[in-house]
Amino acid sequence: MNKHFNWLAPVAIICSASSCFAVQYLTVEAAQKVCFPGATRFEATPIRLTDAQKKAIEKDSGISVKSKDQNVWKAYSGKTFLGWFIEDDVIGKHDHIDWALALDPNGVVLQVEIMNYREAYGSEVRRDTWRKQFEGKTAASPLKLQKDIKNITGATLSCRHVTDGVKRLLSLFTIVLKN
Amino acid sequence: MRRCKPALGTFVEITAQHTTIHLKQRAIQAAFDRINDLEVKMSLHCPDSDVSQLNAVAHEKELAVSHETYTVLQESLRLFELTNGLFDIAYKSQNGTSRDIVLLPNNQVTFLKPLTLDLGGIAKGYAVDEAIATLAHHGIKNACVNAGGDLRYLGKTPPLIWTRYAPHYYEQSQEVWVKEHKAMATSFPSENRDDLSATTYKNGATRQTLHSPMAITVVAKTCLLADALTKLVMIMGESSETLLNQLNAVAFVRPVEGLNTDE
Repeated sequence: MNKHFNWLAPVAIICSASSCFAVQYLTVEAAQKVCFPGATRFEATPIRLTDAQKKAIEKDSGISVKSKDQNVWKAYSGKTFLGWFIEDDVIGKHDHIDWALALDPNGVVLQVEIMNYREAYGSEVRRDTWRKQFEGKTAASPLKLQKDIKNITGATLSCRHVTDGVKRLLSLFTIVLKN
Repeated sequence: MRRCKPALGTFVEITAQHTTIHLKQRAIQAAFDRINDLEVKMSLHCPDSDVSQLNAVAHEKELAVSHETYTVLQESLRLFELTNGLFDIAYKSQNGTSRDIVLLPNNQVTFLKPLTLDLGGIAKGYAVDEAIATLAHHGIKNACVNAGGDLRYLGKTPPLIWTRYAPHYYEQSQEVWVKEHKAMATSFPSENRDDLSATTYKNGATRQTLHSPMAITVVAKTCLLADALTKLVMIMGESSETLLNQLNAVAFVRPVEGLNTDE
């Protein structure tokens, strides 16, 4: 067999993550700084949607609202209002993705940042039997010929839900925050 | 520092190491901006993109495109020639192939027939390459860009990747990296994937949808090549060996069965 074509020595990628099963990219504070590098303070203005507002957002965006509570911050540089930072979560495939949307004062999207991403490895991760296989394992594997890799995102997750989330939060801006 | 944003129809993760934190942030932001910029130029879904413009009018007149789009077209045509038409970015066309694309000087392009180009099989890899170039330009020495499995790294040490061993456990390793090869891409045929955004791959010559029972990973010098080659290995199977040798790439293949074991 040619060394450049290992038909029977398969591999596939899971991810370039370092060591844990969930990936934390940014904390809320770090994400706030990334979204508003010039901000000197963030004022927490959490909101709770009324039933009417929830319905209005669902009607406007076409996406169901799972939680009436939303963590929102206003970013300021001194006294200048820079925009909104909204923390949110959506279901990826099985688990939540924590993400944040930054809007300028007029509701124009500045950034979408993923903060936490939990289901990097598909549902096998949640099986006890699967997890147990890690116990006592070292880098020296006896089963190299049957190894493979799985892509972190391509196989199990779609960013469609984040896209829907952006749509939903833009409706929330129009209906609740703007006024 | 590691950041992740939705782009290119997937999640793009950028990791960069540098001692100065604001430099890292600026570099990563610039890399994300570069990716967005390329997406706007090459996406079939952006009505103003070079690709959409070409599809609309290039059979009637010459059209100037961005340098980046021109580069990707050049590479696509090279692969079209090398594979005798298997790699065809014009596979969506009613009538006509990449042979009907004419690249003129000064980034001008024209078509001999109305064509529908789709750079989906190659542009994501190119975007990853360019993001890495942007990070390097900002003085970053160690970095990794991962766009849903199309990934490339910068620096001496390859990133650890999770390797799955049969039947059900994972290990981190660097084994799949081949010396000098800094880019990698993985493709799954669509029917083996259950997410809504699953891509379909087509054979450029026969226009048939691929039903490969294999998941394919290619390691190459650039992510553009790795991205394109995964689909070619899927089509060509073992006969892709010559092509892989020619392009100095390595393929790893495994049956998809058992890969997606989600209940």
